Amino acid sequence: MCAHDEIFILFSKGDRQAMSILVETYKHELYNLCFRLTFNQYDAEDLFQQTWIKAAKSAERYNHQSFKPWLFKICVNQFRDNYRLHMKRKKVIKEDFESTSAKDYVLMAAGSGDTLEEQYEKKHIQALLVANIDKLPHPQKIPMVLFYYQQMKYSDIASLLGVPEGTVKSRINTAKRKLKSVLEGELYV
Amino acid sequence: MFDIDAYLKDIAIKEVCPSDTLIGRTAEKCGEVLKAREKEKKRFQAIKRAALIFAPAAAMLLIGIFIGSRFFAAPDATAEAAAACFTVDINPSVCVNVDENSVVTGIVAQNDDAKDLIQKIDCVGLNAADAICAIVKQAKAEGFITEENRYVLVGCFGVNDNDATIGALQQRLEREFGDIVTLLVVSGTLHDKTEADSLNVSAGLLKLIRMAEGAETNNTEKVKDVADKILQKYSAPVLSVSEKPDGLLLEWTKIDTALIKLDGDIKISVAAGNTAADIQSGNAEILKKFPFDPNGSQTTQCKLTPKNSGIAAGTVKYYGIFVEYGSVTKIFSNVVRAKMPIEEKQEPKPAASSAASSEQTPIPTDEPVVSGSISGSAVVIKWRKESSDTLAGYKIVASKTNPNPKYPDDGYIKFITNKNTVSVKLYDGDGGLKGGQSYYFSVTYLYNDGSAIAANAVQLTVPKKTAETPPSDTDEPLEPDDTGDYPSTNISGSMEGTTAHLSWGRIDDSRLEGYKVVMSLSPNPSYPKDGYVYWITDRNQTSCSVDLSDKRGATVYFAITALYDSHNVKKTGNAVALAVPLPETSPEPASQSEESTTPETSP
Repeated sequence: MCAHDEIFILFSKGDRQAMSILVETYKHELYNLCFRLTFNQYDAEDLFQQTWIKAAKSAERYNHQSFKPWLFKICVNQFRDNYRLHMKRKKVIKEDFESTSAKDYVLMAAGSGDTLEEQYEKKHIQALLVANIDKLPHPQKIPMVLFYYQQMKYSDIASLLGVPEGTVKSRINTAKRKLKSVLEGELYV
Repeated sequence: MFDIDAYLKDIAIKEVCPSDTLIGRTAEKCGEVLKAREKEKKRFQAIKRAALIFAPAAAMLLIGIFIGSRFFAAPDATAEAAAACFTVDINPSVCVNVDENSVVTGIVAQNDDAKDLIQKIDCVGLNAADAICAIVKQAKAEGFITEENRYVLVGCFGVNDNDATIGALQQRLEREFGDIVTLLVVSGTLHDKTEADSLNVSAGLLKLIRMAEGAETNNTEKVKDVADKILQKYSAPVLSVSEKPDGLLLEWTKIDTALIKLDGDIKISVAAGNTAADIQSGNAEILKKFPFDPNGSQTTQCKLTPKNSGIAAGTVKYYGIFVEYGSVTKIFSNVVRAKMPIEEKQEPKPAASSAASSEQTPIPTDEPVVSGSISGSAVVIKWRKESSDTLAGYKIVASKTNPNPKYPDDGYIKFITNKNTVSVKLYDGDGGLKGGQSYYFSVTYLYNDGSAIAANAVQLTVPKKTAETPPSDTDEPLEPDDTGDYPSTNISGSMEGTTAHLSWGRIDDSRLEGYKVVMSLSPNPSYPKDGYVYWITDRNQTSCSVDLSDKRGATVYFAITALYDSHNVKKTGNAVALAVPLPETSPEPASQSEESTTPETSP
């Protein structure tokens, strides 16, 4: 048994020190997921904290499966709950929940042989894509975030969301079709 | 061509770092949670030890609670440690188990709505009053308590020092929620709780029924009032009406027998009145009565004709169902408004004809006439103008198979309320029309009194969509591919002044999370495309009203989108179009209304 396994066992028994170690170990990965789902520092911080508190409350039910997917699943479910409550509270339509800053977080990704101009052009398009992914309905947005930003596999996303792998693929394809149509409108008209 | 994959695969998002303060705060909060759990565990162990010492009494108690709780799923319940329990019935229904110090040891959902509710509150370790307050507060936040649904029933079972506890609890609840709820506290023994569990009903509700029926001594007006309202919420059937050629077909959902199987003499009555209020006030005429066998099959429909109901053809009436049991309690359905159809021989005959012959058909002076043609990629339907002040609008109808399509039998694809509009262009995709396929098109003239006259039909083939075809505004959002067996619900509505009254069929599916009431100025609205006006998580709430005073003169479309599986599955039913009257033409509250009692049909 490695040290990590022991921590998980201690965590499931409600050990506070083990909990602190886990928060420290997974803080970057979880916070980045929170941020990519919300693209807003305050919402991401809330989501991060809510996820850990829920994990603490459910510690006894943690059955030593892989910890990260378990934690991510709590995070995604919490994100959906927050959105639902937000919608209920404000009685707003979906557009009110958009983030406007998503595109500011896109990094320049240079392909081999790209000129500086081409790199800027690519970044501009990717920024538009990210901003529009952020506006997608959740069933499409969440798989897109997990697949493209978190580089997760279809099978892992399927198990995290509790849907068949085919559904994940279909949602991603639907999202891509929508994004393509939006971007073609913005770029070529 | 835009290659989206090329851009998506290289997307890189800046890494962000959580602040040390956030990490510190999070670890601290998690520590508090774990500490509370630890404390709670110790308390449990102490209770268990005590139970062993007082073995005979404890064993009886544990058996009683076990028998009681076996009927309900109790994932987190710690019934074996409960010394008493409190029930909270709002619909949702929740049971709170407490130890001898009135500290909550477990919380049990007693119906589907409650399952969702209790996931969002953590009451274990709180005292009973705090837990009940938290439940009421959450129910309010979730929309289960509203201005119309403000009744909360709290039951106390097996509580020590009964009067003092109940008094204190009542005071606390009145103080915190007195302005938003009407509260009734009832009490009983653990035996009552066990009996209710064996009947699969909430102990609080069972107690209330007994009190309302006079079997208990505390039979006050308030008890009757709360009993009426609460039982109504839990058991009410949902009524819908559809027009048939020879009469009206009333259909209602099965009555929930959980709360009414306790009495032998139950009847379902079908009533008709001149106003909606007549139904509940007893001024309605009882048209039919059906015996009700709680253990057998239930009657869920009734055909009314002018002959068997005595209601003359063409008369508009309000219809309702009520269930009578015991001697005091009645459970009412929603009220629907419908016009008894005019017999076939009195109906104006639509002049059906083909495209080729329609243009040459002689125009009878009192009959509208439709013609059709193809213009570019559109089908153009033209009709004769109706200048009557009583015209509500033109329903454009299409059917692949019916050579004489008409509204409401064949649904409609557009509703035009401007009486000066006498033509419409329809494209591939509009209202479900498919390019390359042949349809019979017609126009039904709809009048303010609800009457409808169908015109002749023309047969045309819809041109296939080309690049120039304008995009349809009726495209449904793409749904996930695994939503086949999730039910949708049909909506119907009517106008009262500028208020739309909507009602729909209850969906009896445990996966349902709620109804989104969607409104749009375009046909076929759906969530999330058109946002929503209400989010209703109580599956038994099947009606609502919407103020449309800011939409005078417009035709507003409503639909219900049912949400399932964490909002991943959305199913939208038919749409209903309601014309909001203009102040000049309809200053009185009773204005034109239009009810769609059949689902919109895609041609």
